[in-house]
Amino acid sequence: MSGASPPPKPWEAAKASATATQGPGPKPWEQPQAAVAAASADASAVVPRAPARPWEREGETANGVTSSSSPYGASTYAAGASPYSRPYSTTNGVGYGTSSMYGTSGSMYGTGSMYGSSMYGRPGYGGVGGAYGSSMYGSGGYGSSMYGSGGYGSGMYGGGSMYGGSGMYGSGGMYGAGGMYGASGGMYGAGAGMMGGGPMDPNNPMMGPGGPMGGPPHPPSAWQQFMGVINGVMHFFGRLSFLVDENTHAVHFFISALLQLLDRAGSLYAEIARFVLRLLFRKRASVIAAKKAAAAAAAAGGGAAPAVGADAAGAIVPRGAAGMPGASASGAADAGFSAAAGAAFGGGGTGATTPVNTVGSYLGGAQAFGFGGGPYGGSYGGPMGGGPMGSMGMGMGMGAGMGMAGMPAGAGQWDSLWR
Amino acid sequence: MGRCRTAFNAYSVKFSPFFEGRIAVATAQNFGIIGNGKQHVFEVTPAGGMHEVAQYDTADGLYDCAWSEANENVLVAASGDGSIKVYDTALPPHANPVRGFKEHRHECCSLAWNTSKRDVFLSSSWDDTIKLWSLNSPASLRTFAGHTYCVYHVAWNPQQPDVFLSASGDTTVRVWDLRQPAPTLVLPAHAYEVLAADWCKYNDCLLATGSVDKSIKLWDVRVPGREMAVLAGHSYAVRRVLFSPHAGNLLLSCSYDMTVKLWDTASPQAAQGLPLRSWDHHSEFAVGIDFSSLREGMVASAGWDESVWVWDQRGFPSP
Repeated sequence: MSGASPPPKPWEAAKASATATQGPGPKPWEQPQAAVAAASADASAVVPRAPARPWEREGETANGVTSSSSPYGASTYAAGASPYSRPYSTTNGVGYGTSSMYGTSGSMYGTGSMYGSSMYGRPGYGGVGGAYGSSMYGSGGYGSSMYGSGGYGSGMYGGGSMYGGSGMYGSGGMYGAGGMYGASGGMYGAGAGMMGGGPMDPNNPMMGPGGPMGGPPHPPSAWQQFMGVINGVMHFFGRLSFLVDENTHAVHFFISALLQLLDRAGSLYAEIARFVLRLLFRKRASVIAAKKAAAAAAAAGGGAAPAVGADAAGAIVPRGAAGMPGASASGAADAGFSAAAGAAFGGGGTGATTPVNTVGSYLGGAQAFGFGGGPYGGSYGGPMGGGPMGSMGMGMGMGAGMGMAGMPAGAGQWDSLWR
Repeated sequence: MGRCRTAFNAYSVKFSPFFEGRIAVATAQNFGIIGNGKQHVFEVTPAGGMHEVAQYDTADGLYDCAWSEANENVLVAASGDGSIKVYDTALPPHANPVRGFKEHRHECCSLAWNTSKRDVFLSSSWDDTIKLWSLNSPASLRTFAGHTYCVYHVAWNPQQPDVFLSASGDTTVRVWDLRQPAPTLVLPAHAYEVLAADWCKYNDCLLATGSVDKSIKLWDVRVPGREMAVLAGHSYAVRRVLFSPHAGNLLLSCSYDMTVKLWDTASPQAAQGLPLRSWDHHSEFAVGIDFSSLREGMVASAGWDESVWVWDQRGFPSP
């Protein structure tokens, strides 16, 4: 049954019966094209005034389908004239590789192992090999542009057909740059340049241990692996972006599913907000400390009492800065607030006992700045904003206000992560 | 009439033009984003069972497939790496794919075999081009460039062997003629990307388009300035539209809203967004549909829920 025509399509049968049974007033699509051309006046009378069909424009005669001399005319592709099913007949077996028609290209499909087998196989070769598996069939467009490896193409390794048939290299044909595939060698040049770790060693292509006379090639270098991974990532996001483009709803579903997954406890946004604010505060605190240090260094002198107070209260000021003589009064204010916070929430004690030269001491700002929420947070912005810190203090005040708005009370649990 | 599970997310299903109940299913792993692909061939038994005839692995996801109109065993599959694989189910698995065409620079997403000139088929790709192929030729016969964005779908006109359409992400549908160098019609069909289009089998001037704007539009190519009807029933992008081979007014559509709908384009209800039938048997995006041309009423759908269903359009899908 090979090469036989399929059963007639339903619409073909319907068309035949319709033309057979129907007499006058043919529908436009049932009207033979020759009739349209022969009696265009009639047609215009019968058919409602409609423009010509697109394929009838541009002077195309009505029977242009058959008289066309284009390469796609009926003469070229006449059914039965060249039943191309012949190469697929079962008697031909593996004739795709050997028949004259597919001779050169057929050998491309010889191994079959190139399909998929290496894609998720070994991590080293697999990643690279899979990414370029497609270049087997074609232009290898990726590779050549990415690596500019044309130099390793058919020209340099044209005689590499000795590697072609070897199953040792997985997809084998990648080394067959020139010789094996004849004119199509250029197609595989890029693949060879990329994949061939050994023989194509860019530094020493001919003399290396994996050279043309040597044994198996090196595994790809770290650089090659890296580029392969990068290519895979680029490919992934390229594909993703097109799918996104095709259906924005898919993205919506995906992202919402992802968020739901992450937000099982319903506290994702609060946690994110707290984390962001924590980072903000951390930066602010260090900047403040630096400012304080600068102020202390600039000050001619001063009492040590405020600094001692700040230290004892576990203020965010690092020991080095807070201990300096001449710490400004704002340090005392900080300390005061911190002490109040510690007293009110019981969290300040840990801040006080922790060595202040650790990260935790900076993050002790949760207490020192009223980060954990509570009744004092809102008012805290006031003294700070109006304090000697100027704009920096203002920023802190705002931050504290945000913290109050965006966070549930009792946020002190974060400290456990940091201490 | 049956359901079959696939290992990966199904992208396309096509009935064989030769054997009643034989379907080809193209699938891709991980929703086609990354991973392998599989081409399945199933046989639906009259009793309702489905058994697998063949299965071929590919290194990249498969987005579409098409049966040859000239050889009952040959089918082609569109791969995510831009290549087109040719399979012959009569050959043992290790001999497949028997050929591969690799010219598209990006993902190949649609295939259409000419039902009249049975040796040529079309492929469309995300590289904005359409290519005409013949198994007789080692390379593509022709490349149709003109779209300015991905070409999501191509379909031959069933009655004009040289005429086909292409639906593109540049929001246009173009009508091409093999005898012409340029598109004979550029139809700005939707305000958003057009994902699918199909010709009416009984009216060679009528075509339907499905778009990301959730609507299906019917067009007469002789009056390209204004659509004949708008079928707004899907709640998400329409992924495929297909006219029935058995009736000129039946239109099947599937959508990212996970439903498959059957429309009677002649009825006034359709214009109000009321389909003839609506099936929601898929639990994920329904992305592939087909009518059997050999048995009236038999339809199939494929979805990302890794399942393919075959049922009678007068009933409901049941596993």
